Amino acid sequence: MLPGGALDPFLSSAEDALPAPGRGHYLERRNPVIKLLAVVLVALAVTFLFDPVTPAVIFLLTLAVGRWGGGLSLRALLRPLAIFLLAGFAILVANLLFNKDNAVSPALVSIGPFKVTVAALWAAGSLWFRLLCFASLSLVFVRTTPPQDLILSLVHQLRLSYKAAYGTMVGYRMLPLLQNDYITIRAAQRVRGVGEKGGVWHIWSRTRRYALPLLTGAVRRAGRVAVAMDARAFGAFPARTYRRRMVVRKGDLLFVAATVVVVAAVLLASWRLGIARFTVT
Amino acid sequence: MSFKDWNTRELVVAAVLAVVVGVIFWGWGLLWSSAFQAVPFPASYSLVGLWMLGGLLVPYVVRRPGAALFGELVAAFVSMAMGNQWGILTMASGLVQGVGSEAVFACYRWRRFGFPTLYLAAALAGALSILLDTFVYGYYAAYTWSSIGVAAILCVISSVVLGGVLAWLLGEALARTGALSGLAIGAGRVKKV
Repeated sequence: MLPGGALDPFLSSAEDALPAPGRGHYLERRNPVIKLLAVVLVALAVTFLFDPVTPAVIFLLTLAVGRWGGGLSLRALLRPLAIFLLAGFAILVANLLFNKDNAVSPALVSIGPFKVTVAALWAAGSLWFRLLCFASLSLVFVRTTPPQDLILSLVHQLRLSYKAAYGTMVGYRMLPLLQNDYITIRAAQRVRGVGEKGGVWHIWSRTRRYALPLLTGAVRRAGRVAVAMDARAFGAFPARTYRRRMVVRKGDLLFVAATVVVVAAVLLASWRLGIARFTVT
Repeated sequence: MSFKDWNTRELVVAAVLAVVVGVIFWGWGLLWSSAFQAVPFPASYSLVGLWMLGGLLVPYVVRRPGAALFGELVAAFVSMAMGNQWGILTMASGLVQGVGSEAVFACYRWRRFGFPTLYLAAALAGALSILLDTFVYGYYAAYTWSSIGVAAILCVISSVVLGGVLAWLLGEALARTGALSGLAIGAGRVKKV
């Protein structure tokens, strides 16, 4: 049903396999929260852009940073983005039909009552590259940040309640177990002669048959885990100690500064060349 | 968010439910990026409502202050970490949707979680969600206000149906199994046979 590796947060990033401080690729060594800050800043800058060219440049820069800073292969970067070819087509169709400037913009090509306008192409292009920017930014972030590092960093740097953080980690850890439950439930239903009908039309009945046993099992297991956590006095004290601590180093701050400088330079250059549009005209 | 009043079981049950909802969000996101692309802009918002589920199912089951925000944020985080097309913006949507439903539960001082509170929470989450999308994804620049208005109405309706009604169905079905006994929702539910 679901890809095995995608669901097991500990498979690809078991604690022992984590890059120790000072090892791994440049992006993997950055503090997760600081890296997140850089991503948010770039995404924020892109939100205010209304032309296709500037986001395209930032998109290519993100790919380059992911390639050489994060050690991600171009294939690993581009394959998850393939789905955006479809999204781009949908955006194009929506704009050709509903763009508000279609009435006033000159038509490039007319097909019957429809006309393909410059305004529609411009808007679709900027929306598409904006989407590609967001997607590639978070792809690079997710691929270079183990989830449990991010959660630890949220506790250490952003003072997130450790109860919430550990609760979330426990939930995340249960995902692979749920996959096993699914296999067990399917086998149990087959033994009792509940046939498995394939095809799109049976998705609903399949979901109904599996969803409730899966959820019930998860909730019962959560109860047992909670008893075990209580037995270890989880949450008894306002603070706790950690085996690993996430720290902010000078290099992390330099990384954010460099990101801001590069994005600002791209925006400035684009604006001086008369390409960048920061508002809707 | 304060988790002082939560006991460990409530916390872990909330987290597990939120993570499961996060996987559902992720799967829905894959469908959205592929099959649902056949649905053009204003109509596509009739499918958005499912993404309110985390901020509705979790508080419906756990019934604590902060459960809606926690559930929606964790679900959004999981769907982002598993990889979707919106990346970091998923968290912005999660925050806005969680705040929307939490606000409604807060208005009832976290004492009522059934009809109509659940559906009002779904509606507000949906309304805030389309508001965020309009600005973040630049709809106001690309589309006419009337088509955005249609999208907003569809978004609120689908939030009530795909979010609210689904949360209610799932919550009630779970409570009937007896797995939730000891939690607020499960009080007095298990039938003696």
